[in-house]
Amino acid sequence: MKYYWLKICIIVVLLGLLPGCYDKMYLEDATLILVLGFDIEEDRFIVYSSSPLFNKDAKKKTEEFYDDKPVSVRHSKNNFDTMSSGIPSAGKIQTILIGKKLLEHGNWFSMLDTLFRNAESSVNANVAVVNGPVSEVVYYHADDKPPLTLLLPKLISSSSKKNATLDTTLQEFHRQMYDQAMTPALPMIRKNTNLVAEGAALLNEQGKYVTSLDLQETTLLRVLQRNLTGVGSYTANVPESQAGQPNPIVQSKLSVDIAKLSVRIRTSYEHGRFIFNLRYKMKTRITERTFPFNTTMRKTQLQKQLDSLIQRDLMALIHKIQKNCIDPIGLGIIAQAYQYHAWKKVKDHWGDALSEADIRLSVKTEMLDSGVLQ
Amino acid sequence: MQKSKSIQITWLQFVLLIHGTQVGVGFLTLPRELAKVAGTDGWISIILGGVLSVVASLFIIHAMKRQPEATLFDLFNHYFGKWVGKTASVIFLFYLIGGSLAIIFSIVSILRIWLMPKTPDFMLILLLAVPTYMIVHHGIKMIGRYAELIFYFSLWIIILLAFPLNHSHWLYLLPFIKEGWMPILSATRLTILSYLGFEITFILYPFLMNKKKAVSAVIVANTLTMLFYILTTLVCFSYFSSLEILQYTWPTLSLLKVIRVQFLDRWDVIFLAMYMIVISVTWIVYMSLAVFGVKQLIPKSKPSITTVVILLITLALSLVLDLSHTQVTQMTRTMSNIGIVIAYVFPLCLWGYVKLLEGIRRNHGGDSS
Amino acid sequence: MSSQQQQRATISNNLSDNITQIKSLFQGSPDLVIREFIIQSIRKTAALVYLGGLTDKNSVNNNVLEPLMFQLNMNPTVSISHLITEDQWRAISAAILGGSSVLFVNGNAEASILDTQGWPQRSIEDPQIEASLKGAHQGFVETGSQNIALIRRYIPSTELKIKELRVGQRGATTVSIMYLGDVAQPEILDELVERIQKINVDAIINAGELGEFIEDNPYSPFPQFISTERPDSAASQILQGRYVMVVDGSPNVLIGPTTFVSFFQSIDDYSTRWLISSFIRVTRYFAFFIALFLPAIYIALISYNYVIIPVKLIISIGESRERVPFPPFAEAILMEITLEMLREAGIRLPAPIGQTVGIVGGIVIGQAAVQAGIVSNIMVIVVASTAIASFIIPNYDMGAAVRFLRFPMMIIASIFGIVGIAAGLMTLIIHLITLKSLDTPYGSPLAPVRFTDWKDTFIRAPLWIMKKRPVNAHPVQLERQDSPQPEENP
Repeated sequence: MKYYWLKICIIVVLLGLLPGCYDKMYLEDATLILVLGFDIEEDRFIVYSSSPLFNKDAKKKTEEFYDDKPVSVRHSKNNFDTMSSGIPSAGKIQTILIGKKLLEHGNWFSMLDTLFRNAESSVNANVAVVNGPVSEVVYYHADDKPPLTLLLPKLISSSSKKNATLDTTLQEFHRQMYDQAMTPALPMIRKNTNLVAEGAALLNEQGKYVTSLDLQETTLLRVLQRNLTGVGSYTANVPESQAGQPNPIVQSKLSVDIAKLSVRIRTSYEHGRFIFNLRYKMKTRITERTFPFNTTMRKTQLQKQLDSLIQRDLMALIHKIQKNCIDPIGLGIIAQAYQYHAWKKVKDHWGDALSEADIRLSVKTEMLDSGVLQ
Repeated sequence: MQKSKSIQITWLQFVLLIHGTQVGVGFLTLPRELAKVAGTDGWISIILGGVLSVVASLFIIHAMKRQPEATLFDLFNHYFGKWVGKTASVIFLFYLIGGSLAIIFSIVSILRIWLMPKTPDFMLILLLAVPTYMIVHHGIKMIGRYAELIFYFSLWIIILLAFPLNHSHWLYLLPFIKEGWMPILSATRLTILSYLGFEITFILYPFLMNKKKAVSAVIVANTLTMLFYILTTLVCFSYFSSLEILQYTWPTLSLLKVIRVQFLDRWDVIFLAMYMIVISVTWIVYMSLAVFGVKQLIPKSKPSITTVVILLITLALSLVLDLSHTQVTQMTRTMSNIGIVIAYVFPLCLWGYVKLLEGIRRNHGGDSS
Repeated sequence: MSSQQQQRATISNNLSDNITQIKSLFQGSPDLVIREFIIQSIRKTAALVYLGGLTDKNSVNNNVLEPLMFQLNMNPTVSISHLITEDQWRAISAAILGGSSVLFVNGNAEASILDTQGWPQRSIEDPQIEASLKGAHQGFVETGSQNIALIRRYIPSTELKIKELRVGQRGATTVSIMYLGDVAQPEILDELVERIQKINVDAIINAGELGEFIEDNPYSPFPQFISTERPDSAASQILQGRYVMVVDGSPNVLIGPTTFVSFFQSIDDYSTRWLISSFIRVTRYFAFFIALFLPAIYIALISYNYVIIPVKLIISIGESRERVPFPPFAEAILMEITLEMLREAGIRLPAPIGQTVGIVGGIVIGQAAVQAGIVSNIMVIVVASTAIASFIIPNYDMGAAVRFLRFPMMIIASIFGIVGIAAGLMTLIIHLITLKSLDTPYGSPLAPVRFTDWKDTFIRAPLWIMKKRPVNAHPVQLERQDSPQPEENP
């Protein structure tokens, strides 16, 4: 106890050094940016944001800001500070909306740098392309719907669960952008009367918009990506001749759920071009059949028909991709893994290399059941 | 010098002390550093580094074996005479203190960048100084227990690493040995930095209860560390694409940032706070060994006073120096380079010296008889 | 002191001398009874001396006075079970103070000490604080000898040794250390006896006082001895190789050496099915963390690290926080202190009123405070769960330690956020590792890790698996049983 006084002195000095609370920011004082939007309108770069209002009495649960002369994204965050009741915080961003116009402009990816550089900001946000002006979506408000800040993530995640669109988080997008062996693909939404998911937008290596896919194509893209979550539903137009009697009102449709997918991809490099051999095996369940057909008797025939239908559609999608010199499927990753030296030579322009590649595809389906009907 | 049973440590404590000291900030940065040099083949360098560090540890044990009850400080005096021995001891002490400071400053700078950008460094150091003081002056046995408990506490990190596996692309790892062996070998130099910490065997060895098991202990400890690093590195390499990983200063943290479960987002924040506890083993071990060393050099000194002095120096340094991240990295690098000399080169020299000395003695003995 | 200096060491054979001596010794004690009479058979004057309140009147009248005064045979006998003769004044006065009656016979230089103790005492009742569902319904009482008897009932073995010590200059309280002679580690006994002998106080009124004098770290918030009022748990601890200190006059006994985890074990665990009691044990540890960290986590999350909270929750918390005028720390401190006051108020009040306080405090204040916008809904939930969690810990002292410790945790969380909580946790772990109970590690079996003891730590393994005693108390004899696993009949 000789050093008792010393201990007390040290403790007192230490306590004196604790004015503390440097980083304190109360939740209720923060303006949580949940939706961040980027767009070009009238040739000006505009940043939008939408935040929840912490007020029980307020009828409208969100507040929106926009900044039409930002120097940078970071700068516009500071601008929002002057507009909002709280201090803007990027820690909980849920959705990042990007206008199609901005995408067509290209070279916009570096704008997002601050979102990755700041440790606080969330990289789990969904990135989505807006087909149309972003302002329409950000200012969308419907009394019978949850506020936009909650609606958007729900819209994207639920349609992505059905494989109708993609689920690209900011982190995933970052990976796709930096990966030389593939090109990014983003989900796309638009505002009609309501907000609707609308398939996917495909970008090239620089992040410039190239083409878009509809819902069915997006499902098939996910099949190609081997990235089906749960079951993927696929509906095919059955050619009249195969369906039997033509029906003018109800088109002959065959819908199946793809319950299980197994893929074997072989790749080789011959004569200066890559050869991909893709063999898809699917287990399917019939969910709809709008034409008469004897399923029990002619099951194999139906399976064969389905094989060729899926193969046709997949092939069409692959051709579309090849035509645009992009690779959202990630075939480059396979090429990199198995044909590294050949890939290394073309890695800086992989999209072009893929467009010249010989992609062979075979689909084999197996019908598990046909529902409760025959 | 006979160590009483009361301050001996068990085999497991010995293993986990070494392992705990090895796993430091490297765990957070290693994947990027490796990817930069060796691409996705970096994990092979980890194995090579592990083998090297096992070999170096074995040299340490061999050198210590002759005098099983003597610590490094005693050995210095024994082999090099009083003055050279004292100087060598002081250098070693400075290394221990420097290592401990480097780790504290690193974790503080990481905490500042990730969680508390506005909080001054000395506040965080003050916060860490209290628990550090509470355990450091209690001596080696308590440190052993702490390392042991914290190891079990740290196991959940492995579970956390399993979450990103859903989104990993194992194809990124193929093909193995992409660019030949040269990059892998040159990355080994990086990995051996991450194994630094086994040099505490120099001081811990006399305290080990069953000296015969020392060899298995260092092998297990280094292997544990190796597995831990390989796991992290593989998860990072398979999650990030090869160019992307170079973007992140701390890929492991960026990896954990994406984990989202139903009730908690942002596991990087939780992880980092808890990892502070895990990493505390490193600086606590270094510091308490330094305190022990001071006690050996100046038998009159009181461990608690020494601890307070070291902590006050740490605090003062953080007040005086404006510890930017680059500065801290520079400091860590310097300490690592000294560490390489102490942990890899010095054991070899010491072992050679001991052999030589023995040879001379034997010859002399042969002459006289 | 002066009267003691005058007195001689031994008694004389003159009765009146002795009576004068006694009177001067017990000056100012009107409850001292000196009954002078003639022993009929040997025709000698005698005096029976005792303290009125401490002796059993029936025993004195029927078993001592009646035979001596009226029996005519040559060797009158008193029908008292325990009788010793003594000639030292010091021992005699101690015996009188202890409730015995002393018989002086004229011409005899020795007095007989008759065991006629009978002071007012409580009958054995249900334990009040440590209620149990399936355990015994006997609690310790205020008489040391009775408490020893209660424990002996569970361990009728000659190996159950008792080491008796007297503590206190004035009180000379009997402290009996009970242990199993062939199991308990003798080094710990030596340490314990040494520490008790160092105590130099007037008197030890309560077991808790004794504990405070002999514990290893007086600055620690954690109890370093288990204090129990249940003979069955005391007996089971003795069987594990620990030492039980019975303090005369205290309805609690102290058990040592202890470990941190032993405060989470209850005697009920062993009489409930092992799966269920394992589940309850895990719940207790969970409750420990809730009680310790939940308010701190609330503060850290609201004022620093709200990014951790999922979006939906963040919006509802934000809405309920929006009306509250105080910062989260003030809000939490306000509610936690209110809770502590309610708890303290409830203890001191008679049971029926205590309940009213609970209702008024819990429901009325909580509800009204939320409606008035002083605290947020979430805060009330946090405080309520903390309170419930802190009462799940079976030991009162440990529960109190946890309730106390959450305040520093809250302070540190309000300064550093989640990093502060981590540092707090680290400090706590380090404190528990370095803490000792009678020089054995308090953190065992977690630090040092002893896996064999984990069978009775986080879970309660089936009894036939736990073949060894806990290592922590360093028992000399480690094996405690060798019962086979009950076999399933085909």
